[in-house]
Amino acid sequence: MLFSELFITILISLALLFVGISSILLIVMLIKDYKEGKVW
Amino acid sequence: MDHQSAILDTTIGWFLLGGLGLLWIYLGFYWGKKAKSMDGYMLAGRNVGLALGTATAMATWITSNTTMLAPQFALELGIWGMIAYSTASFGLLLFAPLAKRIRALMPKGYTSGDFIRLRYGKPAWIIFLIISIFYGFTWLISMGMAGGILMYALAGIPYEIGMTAILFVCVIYTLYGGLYAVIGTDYIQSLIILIGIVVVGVGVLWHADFSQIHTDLFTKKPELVNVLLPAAIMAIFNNLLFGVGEIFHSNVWWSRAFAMRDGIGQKAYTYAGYFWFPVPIAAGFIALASGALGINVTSPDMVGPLVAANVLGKIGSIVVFAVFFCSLASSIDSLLAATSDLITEDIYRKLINPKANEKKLRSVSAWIIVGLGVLTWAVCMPRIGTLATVLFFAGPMVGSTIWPIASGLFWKKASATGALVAMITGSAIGLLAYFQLGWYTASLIGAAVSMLITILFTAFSKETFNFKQLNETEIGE
Repeated sequence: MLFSELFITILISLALLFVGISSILLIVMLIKDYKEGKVW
Repeated sequence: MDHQSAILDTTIGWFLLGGLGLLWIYLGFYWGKKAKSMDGYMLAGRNVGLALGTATAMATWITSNTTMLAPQFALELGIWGMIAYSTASFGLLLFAPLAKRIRALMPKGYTSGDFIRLRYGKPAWIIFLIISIFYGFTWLISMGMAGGILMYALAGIPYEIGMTAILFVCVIYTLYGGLYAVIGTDYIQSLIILIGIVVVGVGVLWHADFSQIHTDLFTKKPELVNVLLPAAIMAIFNNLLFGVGEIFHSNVWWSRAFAMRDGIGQKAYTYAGYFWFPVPIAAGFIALASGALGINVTSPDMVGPLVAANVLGKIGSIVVFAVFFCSLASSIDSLLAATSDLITEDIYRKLINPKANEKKLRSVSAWIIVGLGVLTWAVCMPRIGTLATVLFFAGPMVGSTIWPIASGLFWKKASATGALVAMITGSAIGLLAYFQLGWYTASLIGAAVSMLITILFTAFSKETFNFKQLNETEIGE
């Protein structure tokens, strides 16, 4: 595997993973704010 | 872009446009009930929590440009093109400490204009308002036009109708719900955008793996996998500075700093920056797969939707439509609210009618939102493509505000004359560079000139600013 192929693979996989995690974190953060009465 | 490029059946397009539009309007009315005072309407009660604060900062920064241009950047500038686009997240990250400082120094502030007026006085304030309103309005026009063009390109909905529908929906829910509606809908829109990007990305990788994508690029377009493509490296710096300038000066971001509850601003902007960074890469890489998937790209700015529709069929097209609609709405509503706040607070309340009560201000603010919507609609209607490029003129202008704002918030010796000269000279020389050297140098030069002037004036300044003067309620009381 060439360096550039490895670079693309890692970059894109991480980007997709982080975008997915961000959406989950946003939901978790809202639940936490809601429980503490701090949504608005 | 002709009708044949539509990736979605027009009837489904109408259904989605109507369904999402009605949802945002309903939520606008629902959340609008909370906006009983002017603080509620303009700043969502100054009590916004971490989740909504993070989501609104991120969703507003994900415009239709992010989802449409990131794949185009990838197609034309390769992997560094996507990374260049991602550097726009630095604006959010760098604004985080400013958000904390803004909330601490101006607990009762309303707009970025308030800060410039109190910190630097009237001449700098007027120049700042011209830059800020010009930028806000051109951004609004570019989003309105993008909305009409996308509705036509994605679903064959006529430009005039698509553009009118999107602007109408955003004006109605912002009008009734104020910043409550803007922030609430931003949260749902950010989730739709993030989940949509992951669905399309995984779908693309299902059909073409990394090895295929790389082999195709390496043989047909080796420059795109070159880690030192010079044009892409220039684009990184320009994009970064344009992004920082846009966020530092614009009332869109200041109003959120005022709206977030105490102790939340810095965290929310930091999280938003980290969450935003991978978005252009995840949304952009699908363009790199177009060759491996055998897709003929005739219009580079449509490469993202084209690839998504190709690998995921009808579902992919629906997801892309929803993602674009949300990207547009989350930016248009914020611009309507923030620009209206700026005109209501800085022009109407401070210059025309200082004795206006809350009821009067709320009514003026509502009329300004409607007026902005109608004006944007009228300018977008003839579909003059070159108008959208006017937004790029704003690059050096907003770049020239970075240093006056940052130094004004933290340095006691930052001078009013320095800020004024920095904004005027930075804008002028930056615009000159835009025409003489190229778009990719304009923000860089505008910001650099403004930085030199700000530092020089501060070094020789005899002024010592008392930051307590920024807390306007203390002055008035």
